[in-house]
Amino acid sequence: MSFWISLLVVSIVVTVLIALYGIAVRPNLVKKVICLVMFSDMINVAVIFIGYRNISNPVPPVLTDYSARGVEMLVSHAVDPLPQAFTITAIVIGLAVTVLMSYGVIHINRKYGTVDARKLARWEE
Amino acid sequence: MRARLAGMLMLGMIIICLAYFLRSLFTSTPEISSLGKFYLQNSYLGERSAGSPEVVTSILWDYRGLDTYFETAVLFLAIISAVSVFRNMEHREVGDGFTGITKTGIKLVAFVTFVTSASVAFHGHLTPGGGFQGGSILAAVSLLVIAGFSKGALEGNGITKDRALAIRTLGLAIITAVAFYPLLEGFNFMQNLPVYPVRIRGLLISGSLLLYNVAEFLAVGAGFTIIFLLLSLPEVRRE
Repeated sequence: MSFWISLLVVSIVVTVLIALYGIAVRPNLVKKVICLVMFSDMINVAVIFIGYRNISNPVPPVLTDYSARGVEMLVSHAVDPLPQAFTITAIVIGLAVTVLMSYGVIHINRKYGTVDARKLARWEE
Repeated sequence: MRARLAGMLMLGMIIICLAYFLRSLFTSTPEISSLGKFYLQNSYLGERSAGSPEVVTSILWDYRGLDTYFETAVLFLAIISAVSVFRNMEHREVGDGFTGITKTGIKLVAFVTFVTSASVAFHGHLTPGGGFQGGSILAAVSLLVIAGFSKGALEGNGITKDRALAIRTLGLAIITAVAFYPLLEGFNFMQNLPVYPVRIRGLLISGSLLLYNVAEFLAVGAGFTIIFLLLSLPEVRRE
């Protein structure tokens, strides 16, 4: 069981590293934006993972049986709702930032005809 | 192509080996934090109830409502900044538009997505979902119409920039009013339950959660629509 948890954590870390590589090294602005979205999504996945419970059949934190027994079942089987509540607002604000960046890239392409950061900075003339 | 495939295989094997060697570092317990347990116990039936069976929404708008209130302010500022940076772009896109098949498909998908967004927002206190999620889906509808048809198609159907601004201001005003009303009654800022009723005629509305969700749905959806309208270019048909 702990192998799969370890696999998940290592995958998240490796994906974050790949995203950082893309942001830092790749000259294409579209790829930079994609890598930034990947980075923030991986952070959100990591935050949601904090709420993980090692039980056989976990349920989402939504009450379906409106009684004291239902609440007991929820407390014993539901995942932690707090990290999920944290990520919702982060996702929406991330969407706003992504929209801002994508339109910036589109306008750069319209004005200069390229999205290559090296050409925009006139390193290769 | 083959080199890229080999690189991906290598990366996958490195990940699996690392995961295998580090597996003793990561242990997990069947317990959750006491705070999460408190929310699960109290959300619907407990002594400090938020009146909602959806625990995430009750955390979002009741237990940690102040946090969400200012997150809304951050989103508002992000939209303002996007609008102020890219406001005066004088360009025109020239094109013929898509074929009839694509346009009919986009019409159907946009309608279904619109209904889904309303459902997600209005049932936010009962099922997973809420104002933020529904508003994001609503924004996707307007983006779909702009991408599939044109900016003029959205404006021709009555969704102009001024109307979207009015809708967003209405949403933010509802949120502010609902948040400040408990102060007039002598309760705390953004307090939910003794102030607002849990049910109206047997219909579970979870106090102020339904109001917040609907207002946030309007504010987020219309706010993103303003960005899309301001940033996309008007199209002209190729002569």
